[in-house]
Amino acid sequence: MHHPMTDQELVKAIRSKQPAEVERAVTFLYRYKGYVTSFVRSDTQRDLLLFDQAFCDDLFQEVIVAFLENVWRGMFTLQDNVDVKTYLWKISRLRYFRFRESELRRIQRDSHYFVLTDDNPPEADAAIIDREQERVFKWAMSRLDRDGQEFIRMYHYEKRTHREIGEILGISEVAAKQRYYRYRLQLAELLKAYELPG
Amino acid sequence: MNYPVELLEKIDRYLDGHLSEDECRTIELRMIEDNGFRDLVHAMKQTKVHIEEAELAQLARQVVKRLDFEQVETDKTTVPMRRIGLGNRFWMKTASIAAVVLLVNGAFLTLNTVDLANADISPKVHRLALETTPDGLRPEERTALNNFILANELFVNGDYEAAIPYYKQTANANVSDYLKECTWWNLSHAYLKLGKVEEAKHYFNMYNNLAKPHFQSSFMSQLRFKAQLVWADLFS
Repeated sequence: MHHPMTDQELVKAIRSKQPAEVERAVTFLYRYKGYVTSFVRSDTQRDLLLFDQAFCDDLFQEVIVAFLENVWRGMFTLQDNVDVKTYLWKISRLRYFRFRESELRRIQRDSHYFVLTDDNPPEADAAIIDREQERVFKWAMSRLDRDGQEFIRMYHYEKRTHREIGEILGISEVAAKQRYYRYRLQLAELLKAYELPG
Repeated sequence: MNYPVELLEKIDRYLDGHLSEDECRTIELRMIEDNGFRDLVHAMKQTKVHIEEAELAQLARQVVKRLDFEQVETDKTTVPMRRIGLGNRFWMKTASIAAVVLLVNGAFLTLNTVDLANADISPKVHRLALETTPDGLRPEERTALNNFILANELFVNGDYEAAIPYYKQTANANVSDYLKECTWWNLSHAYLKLGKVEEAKHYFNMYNNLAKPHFQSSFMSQLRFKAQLVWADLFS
C-alpha cells in the first residue's frame, strides 16, 4: 500500500524532479487509470477502432507523461475547482478524441460504411498539450549524428563522467568534454527552432 | 561560435547551483551585458532541462508499464468477479443466504444424534414373519431380543465396539424382519461411530434397499445419517 498523497504533495514531488519522488508520484497516479481511461471502455465503436487494453495502457502512459511535462512547464497550477484526477481525465479525453478522430478518418478513407460521429473534442487544455515536448525532443535527438546521441546518452542517461566516456571511446578527457559540449550546443540549436520554454 | 569548454562547464555548474555567490553574480552580470552570452546560457539551460525531463518521462513510462504488468499478474491470481449492478448484488445476497442455510443444515445434519432403533418388545410385532406361540416369543427370539437390548445399552454408553457382536448375533438369528431391520439400522450407526464407513454403508444399504421396511425410520433420520456418511467418507 502506498501512502496517500494530496494534490499538493503530488505536484511538489513532480516539480522536485528527483527520480524517487517522481516515481512515487507516478505510482500514486496509477490508481486513476481506470477513471482516466473510462470513456474508452464505454465507446460504442471501440471494437471497430481496435481500442483494446493495450491501447488503454498506451493512452494512460501518454497522459502521465503529458501531465508531468505540464507540471514542469508550469502549465498546471493547482486551483480550487480543478483537481489532478479531473485534469488527467481532461488530458486523456482530449488525446483520445484526437486519436479517435484520426482513426475514424482513416477507416472512412477505406470504407464508405463508417461515418464520422459528431464528437466534439473539449477545447480546454488544448493549447497546453499541443506542444508535445517529448516528441520534439526525440526529434531533436534523432537529428544528432550517432556519436552525438551516444555522447548525450552516456553522459546523461548512463551518468558517466567525461573521463569514463573518454576511456570508452579511446580519447582524452578534454576531447570527450569538447565533443560533448559541441553536441549539446547542436541540440540547443535544434530545440531553439521550436521555441520551447526553458 | 566556438566557446571554450571551461566556460561551458562553468555555465553547467551555474545551472546546477554549484557556483559560489560571487561566481553566480559574475555570470548574471555578463548575461545582462552580453546578449550572446545570455542566449548561450539559455540554450544550455534548455538542453539540460529537456534531457532531464526526457529521462524522467522515460522513468514514468517504465513505472506505469511495471504497474500494468503487476496488475495483470494480480488479475491472473484473482477470481474475476463482476462488479456493480443491482442484478449482481441480488445474486450475491441470494448466494450468501443459501450458503448460510446450507451451512446451518449441514451442521444440523452432521452433528445431530441419529435416533437409534428400538425393537418393540411386544410379541405381536415379531409375529409378522415367524410362527410363534400367541402368548409369547420363542426362546431363540427372546435371546435375540435380549442381545439387541443389551447392544443398545452398550451403544448408548458409547461402547460401540462391544455392541456390534450382540447386534450381529441378533441379525443372524431366526428373528422377525422387523428386528432384523432394526439391527441393520443400529449396526450401520455403530460402525459409523467407529469410523468404519464401508461397513456402515453396507448395513445401511441393506436397510435402505428394502421396498417396504417393517421398521420405519423417519425421513430426517435417514437424511441425517446420509449426511454423516458423506461427511465421514470425505475425511476417512
